[in-house]
Amino acid sequence: MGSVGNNLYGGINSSAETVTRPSHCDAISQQIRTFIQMRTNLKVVDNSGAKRVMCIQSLRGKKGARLGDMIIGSVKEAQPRGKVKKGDVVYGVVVRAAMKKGRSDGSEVQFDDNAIVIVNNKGELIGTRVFGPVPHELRKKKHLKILALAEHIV
Amino acid sequence: KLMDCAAPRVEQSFAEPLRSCSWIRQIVVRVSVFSPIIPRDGVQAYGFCTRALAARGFSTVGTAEVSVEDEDSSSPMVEHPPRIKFKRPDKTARHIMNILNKEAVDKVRTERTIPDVQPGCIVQMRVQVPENKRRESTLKGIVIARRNAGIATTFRLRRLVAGVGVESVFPLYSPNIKEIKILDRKKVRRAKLYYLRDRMNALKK
Repeated sequence: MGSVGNNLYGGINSSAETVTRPSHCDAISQQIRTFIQMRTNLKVVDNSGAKRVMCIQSLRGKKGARLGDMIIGSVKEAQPRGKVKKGDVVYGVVVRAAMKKGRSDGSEVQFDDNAIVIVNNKGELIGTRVFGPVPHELRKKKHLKILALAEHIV
Repeated sequence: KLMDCAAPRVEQSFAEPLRSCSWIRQIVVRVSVFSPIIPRDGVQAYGFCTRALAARGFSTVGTAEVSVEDEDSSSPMVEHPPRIKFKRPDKTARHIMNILNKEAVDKVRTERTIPDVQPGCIVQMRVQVPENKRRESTLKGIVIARRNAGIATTFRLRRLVAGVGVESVFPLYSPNIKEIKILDRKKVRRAKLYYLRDRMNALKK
């Protein structure tokens, strides 16, 4: 069981584009995707210096954060010279969530990974670039700066 | 057939349908009240008319007031062509939702052609997102699942956006979908292609 857990963690650490995973992970990779809660590992997709953040608190929702919500996280892995370093407690906005988010027209959208961008407690971005796609939901949450910097809006 | 049967009875029964129409306007439709009408008259055609009205009105009482008004405005028995035969109204009441679904789907299909999207199709579609942007976006991806549910039939599209996989579920008959074009159809041996989440190179086969 421990080995499978480590295997998953190794799988998450690699980028989303890697194709092959061992076949015995199939049953686990089909699990139900849920909220972002305490101890959830998230990828950081801006150039603030952090690489991985572990959520320690979701600022919205009793069960956890969803797409577009803010969380408080602890930086677990960071690039050597960046604005944040390992062990910092930071705020973040969830820009990609593996849990599906419904839209008003009946469609739903879900991403392959969980990702955040780091903000300060007012909601302003710390980094200057955002990588990867972001959803439309951020417009309603008034994170217009993230939308402006994004590569692609889903 | 309805017109033939109804024509001789127009004078006698004209008052009755009007009254039953007012019944329909009320919120609660008591089906048991209508059942005495049939044995009392003994005329199948007349019972047919009221039942047709009653069944149509009864089903849409909560939601679409439109169809009820439709029936009331036109002469009740004669003009509305019986699209579905109500042989046994109490049995019909059970699949009223089926009938409504079919009608809604047909209505959308006559307005625009929707191709047959099956799992394994590579599809390009133009969608208008209502999220405060009146701009049409083009999405291209592979259909990995399709769920049939009448008017709420949805299909799941998987695409790679800026290096990240995104799956979206769209209602097939949504008016936001302006156009669906099938680019390619891959041969797949299952209905739900969730294994593609792990293996994106399997697509190229």
